[in-house]
Amino acid sequence: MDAHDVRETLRTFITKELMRDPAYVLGDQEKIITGGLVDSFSLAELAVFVESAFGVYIPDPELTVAEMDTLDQIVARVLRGS
Amino acid sequence: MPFDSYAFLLVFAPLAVGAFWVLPPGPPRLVWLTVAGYGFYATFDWRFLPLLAFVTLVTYAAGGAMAAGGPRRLLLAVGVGAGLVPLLAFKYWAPLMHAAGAAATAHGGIPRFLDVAFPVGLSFYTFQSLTYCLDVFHGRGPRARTLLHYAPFVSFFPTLLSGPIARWSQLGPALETQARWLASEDAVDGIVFLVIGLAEKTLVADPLERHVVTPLFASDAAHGFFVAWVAALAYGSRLYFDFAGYSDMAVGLGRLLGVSLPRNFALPYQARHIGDFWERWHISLSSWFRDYLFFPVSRALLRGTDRRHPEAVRAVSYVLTMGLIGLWHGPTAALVLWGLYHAALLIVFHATRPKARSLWGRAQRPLTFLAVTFGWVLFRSADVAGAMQMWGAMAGLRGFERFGQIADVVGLGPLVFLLAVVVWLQVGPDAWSARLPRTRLAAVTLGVVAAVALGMLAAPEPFVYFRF
Repeated sequence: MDAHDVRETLRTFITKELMRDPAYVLGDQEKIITGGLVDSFSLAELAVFVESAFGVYIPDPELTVAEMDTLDQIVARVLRGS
Repeated sequence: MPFDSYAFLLVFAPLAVGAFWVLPPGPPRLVWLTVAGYGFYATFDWRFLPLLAFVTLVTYAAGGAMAAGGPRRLLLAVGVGAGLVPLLAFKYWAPLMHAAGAAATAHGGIPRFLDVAFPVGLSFYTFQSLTYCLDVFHGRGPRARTLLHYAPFVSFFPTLLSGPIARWSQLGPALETQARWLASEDAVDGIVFLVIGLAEKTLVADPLERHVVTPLFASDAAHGFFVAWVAALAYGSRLYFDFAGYSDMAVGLGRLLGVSLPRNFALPYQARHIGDFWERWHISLSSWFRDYLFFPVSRALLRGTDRRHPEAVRAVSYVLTMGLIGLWHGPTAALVLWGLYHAALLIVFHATRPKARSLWGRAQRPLTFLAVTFGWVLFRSADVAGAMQMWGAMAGLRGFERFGQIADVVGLGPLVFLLAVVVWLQVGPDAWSARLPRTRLAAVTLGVVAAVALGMLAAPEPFVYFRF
């Protein structure tokens, strides 16, 4: 799966599963948590999704608002691998 | 000697901060900070100094042994146990035994050493110590270099009594690498935070408590719809300004010692929805429970169920987390119910998650403010029955007053003051978001605010969070 596929898979998961608003056009650098679209507690669901979809384990200490607040940041973290 | 006292502001704080910068960086300052922390704590109750030292020593030793390759799980259990056992004993076991009337003895059947007032600050410095052990266990950061560095981390007087609950990764580096002199930016920021925090407490929180909250909650049986809502709004405002004021003072004191403490409040009454509220209210506590409880529990449950029931997992995790946040505040049915009430709000919000730009989505902001205000009644009332009475009035079950009646009960002055405060909370900045210009006029204004706030210190109301 290349970076584009990772990005689109994550975009769909966030808008459909976390925001429950599939029609929402989520920008690559849009603030997801500090912008109030989802709360930081949802990072647990995101982390488990990343594990099952990409086989990448993100440890709890890395599930921070500072490191996971935009689609760009999340994609970069996934591409870095476990 | 609380922050809002002449003894602290005019004697202790200048002495503690001044001596810190006069001493050379390194061990002398670390020893001084520890002495200052223990001296500050002793002014509340010297009998609990050994408990503070015990928690410090055991959690430091456990963290050090873990980092050195010792049996990690056992050492984590020792470290966590050293913090949690005293907390459980003093905060939960003794009051529960009293409540249950365990035995018809002079002390209700509990050991005499537990039959004393709750050690102030125990919930906060315990959690700060636990964080250190958990972070070393999970490899979240390095261990403290020496006990000399760790002791002032636990007994850091700005955070010792009511937080913000700092993590070693936030406070430790500043203790380990100290500048020779206080940076002018830190000095200015420190004074600004200190003055704004003091003003929040003495000029807003205390008058609201004295003139609105105390009288209205003392006579809640007689209230109708409007006065009950005025009481709840006043308490929500008082609680915010009381605790945010304390937190801002702590941040200011930290800056004056060259330490950046974490933000504890971020305009919580301007939250866009209830999930957003918990990103903004008592952040150091809510993020503690999120990182050390909610994440591990919900990830384990999601994995265990193959993500087939995310709503159920979220609900279970919220009930557990928010229930324990309620219990952390105290072993009363009202506080636990307050936590569960917020769990219910979060579950309903996620289950009916509105689209961000829909009308229902936009209505979340005022609805969140009203729902949080409704919940504060549980936080303030002496028991659940009292809260139910107030809730009944807030639901309109006990009639509606005319404006003249409201003004008679509350007083026109306090009513106008409360209205201004509530509007400010909806649209105004706080100490973190306000951009104060560095001008002579701003300095004079700050000086006047400080003088007025100091003048109001004669009979301060106790900080709400001291009892937690």
